[in-house]
Amino acid sequence: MRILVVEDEPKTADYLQQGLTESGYVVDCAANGQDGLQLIDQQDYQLVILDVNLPEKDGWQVLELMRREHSTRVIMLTARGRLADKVRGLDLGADDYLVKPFEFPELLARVRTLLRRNEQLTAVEVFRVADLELDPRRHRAYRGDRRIDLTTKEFTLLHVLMRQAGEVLTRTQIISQVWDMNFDCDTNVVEVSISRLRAKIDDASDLKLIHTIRGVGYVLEIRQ
Amino acid sequence: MRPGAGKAGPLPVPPRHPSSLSMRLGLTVSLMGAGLVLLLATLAYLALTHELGKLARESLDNKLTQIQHSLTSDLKTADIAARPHSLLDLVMGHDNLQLRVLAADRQAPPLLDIGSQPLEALPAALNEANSPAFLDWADSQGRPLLSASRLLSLGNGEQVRVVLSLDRQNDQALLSAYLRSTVIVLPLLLLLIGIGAWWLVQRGLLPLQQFSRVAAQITTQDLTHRLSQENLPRELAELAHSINFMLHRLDGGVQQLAQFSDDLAHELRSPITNLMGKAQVTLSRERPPEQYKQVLESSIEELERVTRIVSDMLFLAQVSDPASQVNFERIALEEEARRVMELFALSAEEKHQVISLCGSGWVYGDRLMIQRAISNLLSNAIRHGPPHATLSLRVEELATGVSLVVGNSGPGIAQAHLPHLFERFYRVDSSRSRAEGGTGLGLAIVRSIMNLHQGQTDVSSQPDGLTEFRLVFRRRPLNGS
Repeated sequence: MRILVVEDEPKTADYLQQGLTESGYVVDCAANGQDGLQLIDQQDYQLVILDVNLPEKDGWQVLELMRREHSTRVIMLTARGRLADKVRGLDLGADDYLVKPFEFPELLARVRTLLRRNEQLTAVEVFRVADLELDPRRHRAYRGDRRIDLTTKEFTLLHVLMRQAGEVLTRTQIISQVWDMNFDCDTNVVEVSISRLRAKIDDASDLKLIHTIRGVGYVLEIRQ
Repeated sequence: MRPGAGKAGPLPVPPRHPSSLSMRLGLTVSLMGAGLVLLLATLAYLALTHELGKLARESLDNKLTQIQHSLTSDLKTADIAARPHSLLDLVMGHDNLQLRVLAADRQAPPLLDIGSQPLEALPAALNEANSPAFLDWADSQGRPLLSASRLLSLGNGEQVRVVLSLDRQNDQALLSAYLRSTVIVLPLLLLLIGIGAWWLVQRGLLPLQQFSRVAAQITTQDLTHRLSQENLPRELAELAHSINFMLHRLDGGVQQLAQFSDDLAHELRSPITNLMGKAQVTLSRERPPEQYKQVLESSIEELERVTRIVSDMLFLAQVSDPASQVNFERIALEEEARRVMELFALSAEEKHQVISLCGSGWVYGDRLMIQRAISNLLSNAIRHGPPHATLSLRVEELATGVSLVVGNSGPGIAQAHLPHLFERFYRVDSSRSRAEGGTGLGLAIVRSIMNLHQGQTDVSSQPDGLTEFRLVFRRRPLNGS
């Protein structure tokens, strides 16, 4: 999948390219709006990550011009978090809007979500990672043959981790998906919950599934 | 956040059209003065003319009566021409009087003609039977004359006509002298009035010049100048008072902003110093990859703090912007409190604290912001409450609105700190709360959120007792919706 990053700040463009490439995407970069528009005309991109503050043509203009011919998905990046800006971006045809400073895993998650919209969603009935099993409909979890007793929130947390197994989830994402709080709150609830969940799931097994990526977030996956 | 330096833009040029106030007032006053003086001068002229005319008639009348006396003693018309002495005495004393005695026969020459300057032919009107008692006329030289004529009977029954004329050249000269002097003096007088009015207005507006002097001295660096209210007229004193009050508030605001950017720089300096120092130390020699990883991880933790400060600042800027609007919706306060409580349940459990929730009430507000406010208060209560403390969330219906109280037992907060708790970066125990991850903006955000909701924040604390933070919401937002 091909992604275009239009960003004039070299350091930002650099780490976006690196991070997205390492996540398995083919990434091109443009340092201004004019170059960005040319690349969009030449190449077939699945997604454009567009900064608002650009030299020559700003992000709004690029978005407006490209929308005349292309329906490529667009994520806007901006340092301005005003609601009016957000509305303007979405009105002009952006698919998503991210305010700087943002966390890279969150950007990655949004990129995945946007690209996934094309795919057919297969309703998974039971989630399985190694010998860990979660059945959302019957509200049950097993590690091997052992039934795991979870509180409601722990169950939701495990559900979120397993649904996106292999993806790193930040603290903010977890709080948003499990506790439905969509702002940056000052709490150690995620750390505490993860450590409790880990005690119930991993402590008795040799194969650990929940991993902490310090400074970034948490991931549930099989690691050798 | 934005002290507005970049937003000032070009100064508006004062509009040129309306001319100076003192000039306008001066002109108006002199115009009014001109009208008044003109009216007075006209009245005086009319009165003078009238009085002079009246005096002339009276004196003519008197003389005629005397002449009548003198004539009635004569017997015949021939006597009049023969001995005019008695009449001469009467008339000659006044060089502006002319006496002519005519016979009843109109064609006959005058019987007698006395006077310094002999008269030409009298107007015919005077010689008619029904001639008017007085007549104003002018002779061929243009001399203004007033004549009185009377028909008299002599001793022998003969009738004669006596015409007495008064030369009114003197009166005329007096009147024209009056007019001349008025015409010469009037413009000067008007000029004087105008200048006087202008000067008076200028003097009256002098305090405004002081206003503008003070205004010119005021900058964001120096807001200490004040208008002196001494010797000001009442209207201007009120204005000066309001301006001083405004300056006072601006001064406070600017000082707060200065203090705030100071604090902000200070807050950001320590994490940035840490980051820089750690990176420099790490790069100073070769290390195993594990160590680099560790440094990066700890850098991210430090950066998370910077990020949190920045996003809190952005949020504060957004909430404090007077133009920002709230999406008001009807919210069950206890429901939001319960959700926040759920989020913090584990953190409290770790410290063996118990959270209780009671009461209920509806408010209008922005759900996310209200959650954020409750969350900031509750996380403070958990952080500052000692282990095994009891935390309470209480929704109360008040007469004025609905309030949410977040309380915790514990050592309490010293009274001296209470008024400052909602200020940005104010910390009771700075090292402790910073180590625990606080940005020092939590309560400032709470207050800004409540301001935006037109509500109030309040705190009370007893030593070794209950510390309570209270949010009071209006039942309905002022601007409806």
